[in-house]
Order: sequence, then C-alpha cells, then structure tokens
Amino acid sequence: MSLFYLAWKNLSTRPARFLFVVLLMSVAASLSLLILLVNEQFSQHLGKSSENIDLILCSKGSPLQSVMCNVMYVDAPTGNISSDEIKPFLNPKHPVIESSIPISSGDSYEDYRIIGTTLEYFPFMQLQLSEGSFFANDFDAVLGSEVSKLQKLKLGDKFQSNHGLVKEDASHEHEQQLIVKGILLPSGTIKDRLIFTNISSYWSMHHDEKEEENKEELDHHEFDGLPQNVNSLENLRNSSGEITALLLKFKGNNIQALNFGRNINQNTGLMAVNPAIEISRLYELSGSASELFNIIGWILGLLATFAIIINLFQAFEERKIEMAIMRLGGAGKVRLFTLMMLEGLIISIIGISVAFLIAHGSLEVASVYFKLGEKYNVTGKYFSMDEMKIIAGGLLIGAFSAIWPAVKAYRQDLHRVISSID
Amino acid sequence: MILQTQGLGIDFKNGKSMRFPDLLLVKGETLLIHGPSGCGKTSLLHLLCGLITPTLGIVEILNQNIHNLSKFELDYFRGQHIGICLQKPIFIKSLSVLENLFLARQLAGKNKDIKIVSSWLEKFNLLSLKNRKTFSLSLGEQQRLMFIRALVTEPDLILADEPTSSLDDVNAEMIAEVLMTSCRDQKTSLVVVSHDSRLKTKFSNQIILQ
Repeated sequence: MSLFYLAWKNLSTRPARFLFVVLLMSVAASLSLLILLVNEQFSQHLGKSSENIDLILCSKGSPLQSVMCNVMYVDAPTGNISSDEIKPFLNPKHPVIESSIPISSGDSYEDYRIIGTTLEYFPFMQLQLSEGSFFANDFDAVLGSEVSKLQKLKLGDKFQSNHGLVKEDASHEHEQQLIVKGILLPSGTIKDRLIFTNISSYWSMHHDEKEEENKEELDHHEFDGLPQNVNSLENLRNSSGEITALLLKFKGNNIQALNFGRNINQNTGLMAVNPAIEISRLYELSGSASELFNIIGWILGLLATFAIIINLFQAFEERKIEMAIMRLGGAGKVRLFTLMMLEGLIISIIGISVAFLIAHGSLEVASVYFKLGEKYNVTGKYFSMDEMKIIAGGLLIGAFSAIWPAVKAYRQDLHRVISSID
Repeated sequence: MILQTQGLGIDFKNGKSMRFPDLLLVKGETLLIHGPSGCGKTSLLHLLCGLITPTLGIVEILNQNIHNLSKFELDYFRGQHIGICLQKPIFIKSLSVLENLFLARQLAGKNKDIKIVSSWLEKFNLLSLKNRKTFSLSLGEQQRLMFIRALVTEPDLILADEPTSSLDDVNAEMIAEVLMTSCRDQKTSLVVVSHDSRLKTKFSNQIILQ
C-alpha cells in the first residue's frame, strides 16, 4: 500500500472538511489567477493596439474616447474631420511624420465594425492577406479572419452594412452592398474582427443615403463631392471628404515630434491625442482596482494556508493515536513526515487544479458572454508563465502547512499517548 | 534468547518508584505477568517495548539492549521484532480490515502477502469481514484483529496488555487459546500482562507483581 493511497484515504474519510479546505484553496488561487490573466491580457492588448501609433488627430472631444475608438475599436467616434484640414500631414515628404493612416468608422455589419482606410493601413498594422486581394474599387471589402469564419463569408460574397456600431442600435441599412475581395490572416488582435473598405466607399454610402432621404441635417460622414476609389494616401490627398481620425507615426523621437501635438491642439480645430499617455492613464485607473483584488487574493491565500494548517493539525489531533500505532508498528519519522506532507500536497494539487478550471473557465465564459474577447482580447484560452508562480506558491503552501503537524506527529511521547487510551 | 531483563527499575517524577523481577524468555516461550491494578504491569510492558526508558537496569531483546538504540532505530527495531497488543484495539480508521493488516506488514518491512493475511483472518474467524471498516466490528472482533495485526508481521516477541479483561468467559477462553496456539505454531515468544485470573490456568510460566 503506497503512502499516497493512505494519505488519500485519510483525507477522503472526512469529506466535509476535505472539501472545505480544497474550496478555500481554490477560491484563493483562482482569484489570483484571474487577476493575473486579466491584467496580463489587458495590458498586452493595450500595448499591442497602440504600438506604432504616436499621435491621433481627430475632432475635439474626449481624448480617451478617441483612443478607444480609433486604436482599440470599442467606442464611438468623437466626430469627423475634413480631409482638407489634414492634408499637410499626408505629405510623404513631411519632415516629422513617417506614416499617416486615415480611419473612417461608424458603420458595422452584424456587430463587426467597418473601417474605411487606405491600403497603407495593412503594412502599417502588419496585416497580411490569406486569400483574395486588397480593395481596388469602391465597395470592395477585406475581412478580418474571425469575421470571415464566424459569418461564413467567402470571397465574392455580398453583404449590407449598417449605419451604427452595434446591430441593435443600427439606425438603418445602407443600400449598397459590399463585396468580399480579400480575407486577412489571423493576427491575434481585435483587427481579426474588423471589416476594411476604402475611404470613398464610406463617402458613397453616406452620400447616396443623404440624397435619398434628402436630409438637411448633416450626417457625421458628410462630404463635399464624390471622389471614387480613394484607396491610397495619394488619392486622399487629391480628394475632399471627411474621415474620423488620422493615425500618425513620427520619424524618431525629435523635439519637433514632442511639440507636434501641443501645437495642433493650440493652433487648429483638431485634437491631437497621444495614445500612450491615455492608455497609461486608463491603466492607472484599472491598476488600482486590480491591486485591490491582488490584496484580497493574498489575504484569501493566507487564510487558505491557515485553514490547511488547522485542518492537518485537527486531523493530527484526531489521529495522533493512529500515528502512535503506526510508530509502534515500525513507521519511522520519514514515513510519518511524508504521509502528512502528502496530505497537504493532495489538498493543494486538487485546490489548484480546481482553481485553474474556475479561472480559465469563467474567463472564457465572460469573454464570450460579456464580449471581453471581442473588445479587449481577454480569453480563458490564454496561459501565462506567471501562472507557474501561483502553482508553485500553492504547492509550497500545501507542503509547508504539513510541517508543523508532521513534526508534532513524530515528537509525541508514545508512552503518554498509549497510556491515555488504555 | 529472545528477552532478558536485569535489575529493571523506574523512578517516577511524583516520587513513586518501581523495581521489577528479572525476566528471561527463550524462543517460543510464553509468560504471564500477573498482578492487581496499579502494580506496574503496563509500565513494565512499556519498558519492554522501549516506550519508556528505565532508571535502572537493562532490557535486551535478541541480545540487543533496546534502550541503547536511537528513537529512529528503536521504532524500526520494534517494527521488525516486536508485536504489540494494547489493552484497547486501535486501527487506522480510514482503512479496511485487510488494508490495516497489509499496512502492518509493510511497516514491518514485509511484503503484501494476501495468502498469509487471509490464513490468519481465517484462523481467527474474521475472513468474511476482511473488507469492512474496522470501526464497524464488534469489540471481540476488534480484539481478535489486533492479535492478527501483531502476528501477521511474523515477530519474534509479542507483548500483550490485558488481552482478555474486557471479554466474557467464552471469548476470553477462545482468545487465550488461539493466541497461545498461534504463538506456539509460529515459535513466537509471548508476554501477557494481566490482572485477569482466568488466564492463570493457561500459562505454566508466570510472574506475580505485588
């Protein structure tokens, strides 16, 4: 009979207490795991989304909202800016700007955002085609990998876009249909859930509709003409219309670049937003919340340790006569010590395994149910190396909790224990 | 020589002291140490298995002075050579009858031999209860199981404390008979300490403590 079997039998004979300690351990560990997984994925998502982008030019409004809309693709646009206002920044010979990427947003298809942009977007965001081609004409669409997979859209398929960002809020469908021309390779970012078309498709959709409805009120994609096939920055420089934002990347970190944003904010009707600053501000807000959860996790971890120590100690008190019998039968200190240690380890191994299931399972459910995966790339399928630290911590707690009762088990005076029962 | 004591005595902290007669036991021999309650029978038994250290004298088992052994060596020596039957039967609660006996053999460094274990259970009429938990057995059954646990490790010496005092005449007779026959068959020496006068007729070799 192995000591492991004996340890398991000892624990499972007292199921209520065993279950209680395992649950306490798993609640503490799953909280720590959840905090770790959410924090890590969220910060990776923030970092990944904004990498490459030094400045966002958009209409005046909330800077954070502009980052959320134009970098993370989760919030509504702050408003529109005219392409005439941004033309100086589209100059390929600009001394400070290395790349500029226009963004139009506000339309969607089945909850997937449609982004109007130019072909420069794809290499800038390191997105590659898996099949088909990039857009060449108006109403050509390039799909993120998940859109194609989940909506079962393939090359040549047609679909109708909605005005608005979510299906329920969509005020109406646009008349023109978009045609799938290309599908992107998965990037592991939110861009897998976006649909791309050229800037002039956006203008056309809103132009026709405006004419048809003969609205006097201006739509937020208002325009002053109807250029076609605005697929590149060069086309955009030669056309007039409105876009939501212009993403900029500077050439190195020169002083001019640092002052660039301030100058725009002071001297133009545009708003310049530094995504790194906004994201760190956002992270500071969520950071203090996650720190609080971290402390709660530690407190629960400490409680779990005490509970295991008390459990093993009570188990020892109940079984000290059995331990004495084992010693009378020839069980040495190594065997008794190993037995107690195994009991502690079994509790922590089961506790941690349950915690793993709880943390990853609940995160996956939350990711689907609350669309965390869609918005912030937070899923239960993500595994972090730092989880190993929590596993090691849990195992140490299990083993350490066993030390005191194990030492006590071996040190007890056999004569006294046996005389007490005789 | 299985057991030999010389000038054994113990002084307790409360000022009480006890001196015991010398014992000598060869292989397969049995001995009854008889006396009224409080005369030091259990203390003598604990001295013989090394649970307490004597103030005076020596205890030699198989020519080894057991009180010269370290705590660890003594536990191991006890497991290898001595079977102990306490006044009250105690088992590992979480294990079945059979598993308790396997564990006893394992602790004594013996293999898990189902044939040997079953034959002992049969001899003591407990084979049908082998898969039961020990706490579900009657007191008489538990008492018998405790003797099997001592015998199953094939020790050189069995020390039994009041093995029959809580049993009725029929059971006491049966237990004493089976225990003595088993020890004789296995050539195991047996020391019984008891105040139960029913045992007096069973042992030719007796010492009376006052």
